[in-house]
Amino acid sequence: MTPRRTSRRRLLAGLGSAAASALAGCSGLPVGDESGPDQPPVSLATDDIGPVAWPESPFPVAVPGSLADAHEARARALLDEVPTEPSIPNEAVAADLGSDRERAASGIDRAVDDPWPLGALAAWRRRRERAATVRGAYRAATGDGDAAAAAERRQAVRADLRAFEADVTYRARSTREAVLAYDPVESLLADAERHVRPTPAYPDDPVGEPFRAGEAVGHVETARATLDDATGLREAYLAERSGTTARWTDVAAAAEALGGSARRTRGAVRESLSGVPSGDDLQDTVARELLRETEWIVESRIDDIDGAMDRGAYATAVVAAGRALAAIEARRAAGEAIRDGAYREPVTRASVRATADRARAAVADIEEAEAPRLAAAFGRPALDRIRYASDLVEDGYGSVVRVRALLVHAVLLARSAPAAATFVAERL
Amino acid sequence: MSDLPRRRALLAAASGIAALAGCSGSDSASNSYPSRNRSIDDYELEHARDETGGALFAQGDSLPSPPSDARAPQRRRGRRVLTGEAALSELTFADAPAARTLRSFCAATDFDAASVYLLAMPVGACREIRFRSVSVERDELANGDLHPHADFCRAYRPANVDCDADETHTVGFAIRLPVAADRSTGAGRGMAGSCQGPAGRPEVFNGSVTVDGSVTTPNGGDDA
Repeated sequence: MTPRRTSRRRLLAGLGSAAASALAGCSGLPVGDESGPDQPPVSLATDDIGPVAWPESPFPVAVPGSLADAHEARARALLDEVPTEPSIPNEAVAADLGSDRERAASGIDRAVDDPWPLGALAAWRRRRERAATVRGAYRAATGDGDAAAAAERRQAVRADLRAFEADVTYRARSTREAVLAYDPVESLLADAERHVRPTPAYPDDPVGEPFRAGEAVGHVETARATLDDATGLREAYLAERSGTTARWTDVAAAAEALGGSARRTRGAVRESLSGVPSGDDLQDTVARELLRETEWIVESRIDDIDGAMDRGAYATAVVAAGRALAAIEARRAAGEAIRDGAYREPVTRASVRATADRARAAVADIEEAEAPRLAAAFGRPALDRIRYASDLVEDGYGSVVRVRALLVHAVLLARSAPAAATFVAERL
Repeated sequence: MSDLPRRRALLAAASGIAALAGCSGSDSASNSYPSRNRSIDDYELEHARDETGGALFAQGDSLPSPPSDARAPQRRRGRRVLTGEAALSELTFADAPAARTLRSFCAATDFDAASVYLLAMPVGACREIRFRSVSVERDELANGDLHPHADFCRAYRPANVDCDADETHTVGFAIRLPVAADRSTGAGRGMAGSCQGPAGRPEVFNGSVTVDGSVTTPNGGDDA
């Protein structure tokens, strides 16, 4: 097996794409091409953002390595069935199948550097899907495609998915652990549901449309892999905990109440932010970008709560509510600072570095929270923003104004996460 | 009506037919959401493939010489809207089965009631181009000017077709539209890189409810 899982020591030493980029010495930009006339060009490198030590994963027990191992073994077995130079009369199909196979194979051999084990599992599922897609296309192209078998497999995964969903009663040692353990399970179930849909349909003539056949096969493979991971996570949690009881009622009630809290808090903060300048008065400033960003994420998180409630994913709804509360608090803090005149000055390299330092410190404080795992779950959007800012710099895309606004937002989200976690924990 | 020339009357009638057909089409007009383009559903289609990769037709008396560069695409491209016999007679077709197929189809058209949108384009020997949909600009058509727009997509030919990825073929499409027109001063073409997914945009629900309960007839637009 290839090296793929990072130890906690390495994780805390700062893996993640930001760190990886920095270590690789990647420098990007001059960023600033899309900034306004008041913003002088600023040259940034990923080193200016630097590595970020992610807090420990919110999942309450260790994720079994056997889950990733199963994906890797399956992916390799699938690819083994496809020759490196497929012999197919249509040369274009043969060439593209060959290059797809090569990409899938090289993907399997790359190390997975996602800081959280569930992220690494997702990476392995994607690799398994690519391998299944190639194998499915190859079989179709060589006349071995079987529409009936493909439909049967899809239906079998769907039936298993329904059975598993019906069996989720949020058995856990506490309501808090139920949220932490079943939020990823519910996310996996939702993902499996998306992949088990009969679109794209397996073609009636697989030889005529081998790549569509491959895509259909790949989707079903991912649905199966995702359901396997959901099953494995639940089993892993229950194996490590004794005295678990069903928490469905408690988690659902908490989700309902916390969703209401998020909406009421949003209303209160909206009211308190009267007098904040409009975007028109803040052209080309970090303030404008920050206002836009903080407003958007609040609405998005509220939508996440509603979506999760609608599909009965109550643990996901609780996490969404916690993220919404952190986002609303970040919105309030940003709005008040902007009302007081902050974030209007041009961005400099020094200001980006200073903001990145503050983001790093705020993320580090998540581990000191009263409810650190919940805080990590609620602080995840901050980590994503730091990573995104680093990607923008590495790719030379966007503007320094946007990069700094993302980092400021990350600071505020990370600082808000511990308090939001305490608020939620007290209500679970 | 009686003072309209016969051709204009046919134009109006044909446009009306197209309008009714278009009501169920992807770009069909609704009472509330008028669309600039009208999808045509009752077209007739002929297509042909020339595996030598030569030009299928050209304006004027001669065809462009065979491209020395096998990948030179411009000499295989062609696009004409035929609204009458005269437009057809201005074209020269290649002496090849694919070109003859297209010419026969065009020649069999009753230009008093229909028009033809004729296209040719290069395609890799291992790939094919599929026709997806055709529409016309309603405002231009109301003035006797036919502006068709055809959408295509690219796909692989079946995996068991023996073909050389480095060779280029020519494909031609003749789309007979149930629309008479005086002229055509423009035409369009779209090409999707993949044929997956539905052709065209989702259909618009063409409702006819009124606040007073009276019955209205979906008119499909203003050019009928």
